Amino acid sequence: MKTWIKKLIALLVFLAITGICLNSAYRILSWKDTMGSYLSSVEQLYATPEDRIDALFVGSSHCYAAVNPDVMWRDYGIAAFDMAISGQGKSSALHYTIEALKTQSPGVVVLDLLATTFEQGIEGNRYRNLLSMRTSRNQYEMVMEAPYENKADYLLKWPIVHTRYRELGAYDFIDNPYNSYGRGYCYRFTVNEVIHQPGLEDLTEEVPISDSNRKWIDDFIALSEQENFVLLPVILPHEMTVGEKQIYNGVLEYLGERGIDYIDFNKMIAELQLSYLTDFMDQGHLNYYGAEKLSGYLGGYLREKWNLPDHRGEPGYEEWEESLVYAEHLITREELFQSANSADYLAGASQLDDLTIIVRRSAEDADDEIRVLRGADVLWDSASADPGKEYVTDLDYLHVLSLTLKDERYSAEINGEPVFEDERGTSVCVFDHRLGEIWEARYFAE
Amino acid sequence: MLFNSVQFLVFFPIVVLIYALIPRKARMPWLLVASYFFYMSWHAEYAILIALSTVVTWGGALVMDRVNGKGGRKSALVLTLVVNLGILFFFKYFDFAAQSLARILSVFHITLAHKGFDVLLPVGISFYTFQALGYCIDVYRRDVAPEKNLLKYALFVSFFPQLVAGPIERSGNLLKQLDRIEEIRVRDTDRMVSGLTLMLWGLFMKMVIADRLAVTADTVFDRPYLYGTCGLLTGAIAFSLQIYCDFCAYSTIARGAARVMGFTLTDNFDTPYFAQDIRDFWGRWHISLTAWFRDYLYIPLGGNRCSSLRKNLNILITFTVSGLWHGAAWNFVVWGALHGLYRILSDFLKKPVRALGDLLHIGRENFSYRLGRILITDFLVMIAWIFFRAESIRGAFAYIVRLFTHPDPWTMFDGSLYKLGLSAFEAHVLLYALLILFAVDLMKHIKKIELPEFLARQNLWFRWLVLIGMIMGIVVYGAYGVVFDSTQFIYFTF
Repeated sequence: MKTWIKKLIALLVFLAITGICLNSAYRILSWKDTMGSYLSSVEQLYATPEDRIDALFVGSSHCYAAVNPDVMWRDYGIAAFDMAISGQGKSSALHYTIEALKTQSPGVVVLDLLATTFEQGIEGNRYRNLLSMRTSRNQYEMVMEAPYENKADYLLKWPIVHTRYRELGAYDFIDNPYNSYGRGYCYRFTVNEVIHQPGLEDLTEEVPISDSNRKWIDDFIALSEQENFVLLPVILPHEMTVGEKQIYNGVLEYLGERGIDYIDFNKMIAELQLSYLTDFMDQGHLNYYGAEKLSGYLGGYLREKWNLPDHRGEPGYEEWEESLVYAEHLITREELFQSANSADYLAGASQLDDLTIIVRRSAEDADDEIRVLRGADVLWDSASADPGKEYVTDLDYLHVLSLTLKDERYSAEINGEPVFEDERGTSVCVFDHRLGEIWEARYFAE
Repeated sequence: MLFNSVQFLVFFPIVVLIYALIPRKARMPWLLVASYFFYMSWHAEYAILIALSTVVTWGGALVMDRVNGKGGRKSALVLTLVVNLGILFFFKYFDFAAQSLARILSVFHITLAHKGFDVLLPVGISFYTFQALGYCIDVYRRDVAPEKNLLKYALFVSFFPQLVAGPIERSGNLLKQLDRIEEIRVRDTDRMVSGLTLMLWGLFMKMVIADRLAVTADTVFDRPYLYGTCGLLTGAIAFSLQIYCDFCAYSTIARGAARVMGFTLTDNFDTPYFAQDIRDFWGRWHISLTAWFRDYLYIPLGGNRCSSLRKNLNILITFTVSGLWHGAAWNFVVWGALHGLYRILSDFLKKPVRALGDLLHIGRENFSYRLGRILITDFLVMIAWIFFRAESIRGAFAYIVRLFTHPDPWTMFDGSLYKLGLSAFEAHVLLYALLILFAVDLMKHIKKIELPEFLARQNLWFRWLVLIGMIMGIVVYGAYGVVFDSTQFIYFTF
């Protein structure tokens, strides 16, 4: 073989290996909204088979907190998806919709109007909006339209993500279970009372629509005509400022002029029976209970108005089925958290087979008893084990449970960290295999 | 356009690709265009200065060659020197001179109103001015023939790899290579790989090591009063290593880039921190500048072929001017003068120290003796760097006094040294990178071979492992992007 051919082959192999190494490093270092606060809707979108989504919800955290696709699936069989990103800006919303339309053909795109109230996002939200999308012409246009400097950094991504080497964790190397469920929805069961400013939703003063908002609306209308979907702009429930309300009024008036129907959910709080006491997580976001009410209404509205199909039982919609099972799992957990005694708690937990339950009963005048349960099965029981025998097991790839006897008392540790306080009574620790995390360590005085 | 910028990452391959594909006769004009584009990426208008310097020195050299009388040649040389040094003085030293004069006059209660010029120092002006002047002096001495081809000469002055931070090339080296530019085998892959390896190593030194060291050095030098001996020592060592890695990185990338295109530039650094005395240090540090001052200032002043007093004065003048070359501030002057004093004192103390060594039966042919000399030299160099880095002479003295009067050994144990700007993780990354630097420099010092030559002798798997490792190290751990303030190469302002 000629020398130059050998050298060319060597060069190509070298470049290929370097490319593989760089690609692997990028996958590890890349921006992942998987820390619990933000779901990686983009990743879920890319993992969704083609032509599955019936209703696409585009918007900010308001959207992924208020619109629960599980509820729409459960009640109506509508395959909904939240293409929502924290602080999603106008350009980001438009281009993520375009990105979704590359593989999906939703009949309805519901557009959260929060983006009309701000121009520049905080740095973390810029990352979320600009770093997650795959490299493409659409991504290039999104970055170039974004009102930020350092566009080259966002296009190349490396200049921003490479410093994540300081914060890498296990879920940068392996899949985070949270990434698989929700269909873009963010499960939050936190309840906080919201101080509502009465009458603001009826304020009629308006700020004339800005050029950027007008263009954004126009672009979406043009896209809906081009891609043949129904555009439904919405204001999702949140506590507004007067300034935001004035902006909304200007935008809604323009939508009226363009003949576009919209829904202002801030005016439907009573109709939806949303409670400022129990249905909000904070001033800007509904919690799970509020989202259930709103999503139920929306599902019915979409079915009634546009007759979106019922896909329940059809093959190819496993993501929605699995997400619903996951949601029910979470709901069971929330209900168990309300249990007042260990018997109820254990009875409930043992109904689920994807939990490992560690129970320790400790009394002043007796040896500790400790049991490890998986559903109704007893994996280990100190009463039947050899005296002094210790127990070690891998709960999953990242967690090791060890039970050790010290001074006639059992100590339970996960990854070397004690899970129980030194209390008398019944202590229960639950490890959730589905979520790959410890639910909680509860102590019951009985 | 910094070497460690995306722009250069695009610019350089395009330049090389076109250079390799165009007809041989077009190579020189192409490299000239590329060089001016490179320079104009900083400030386009300053291309006029480099063009002016080029034309004046080129014309001056031709005049020197054609004028027969020595007086005429000398006049042409002086005129060339005046024009070039005048430009350099105006842009680099005018404010400094005016402020210094105002300060001196204020002692006599005379007020000199000078608001300062709001001009930006043209990048690399000291480098290309000295390179052009060196050529003129060589022509004046008839060491080299004047270059008649303006295009070639313009490329000699502006050759982009070494344009903004050296090495300061001699006409006997670079200009001769330009004579043979059409004969260069551009597609010599071994040479290209060697050049690219040098560039990678330079980028590693700059982006992984120097810019991390800068964080610690800046933290300590910004508020030295917060630290005791250990912190200040760490800061001074960090700056000593930073300036080495920073400047050596630039020269290494420059040499690598030139090598890719078939040119050999002067090796500007030869493991300077392994030097055994100050003379040795200056034979290894910024070699092209040292040689320039030796040939065009020290020897014309009389060199060492004169009385001891005069020789020492020549040394002091040369080093002081060298200090001034590095920056228009008194602390640079003190830094240079201090090195001059080191040189004079080391000559003066040479015999007594040897005698003392003999008296104490200290062996000179062993590792510990050589190590001791290296450590003493590095310590003296480090003390001098404090003047270089400090904001003022007073600040440098305060730093040094505190360094010697605030012992705080407990800070070596209580984690304080991890609070000098770098997190523990970053400090560990730096430590590993410094170990790699030490290994590469030790190999160069002992085996007299550089990384590309070493790798060329290894098996494929090892070569690729090192190269890919360096690429990954730079891409992942390099200081670029949004978190680090990518510090510019320190020597650009000289």
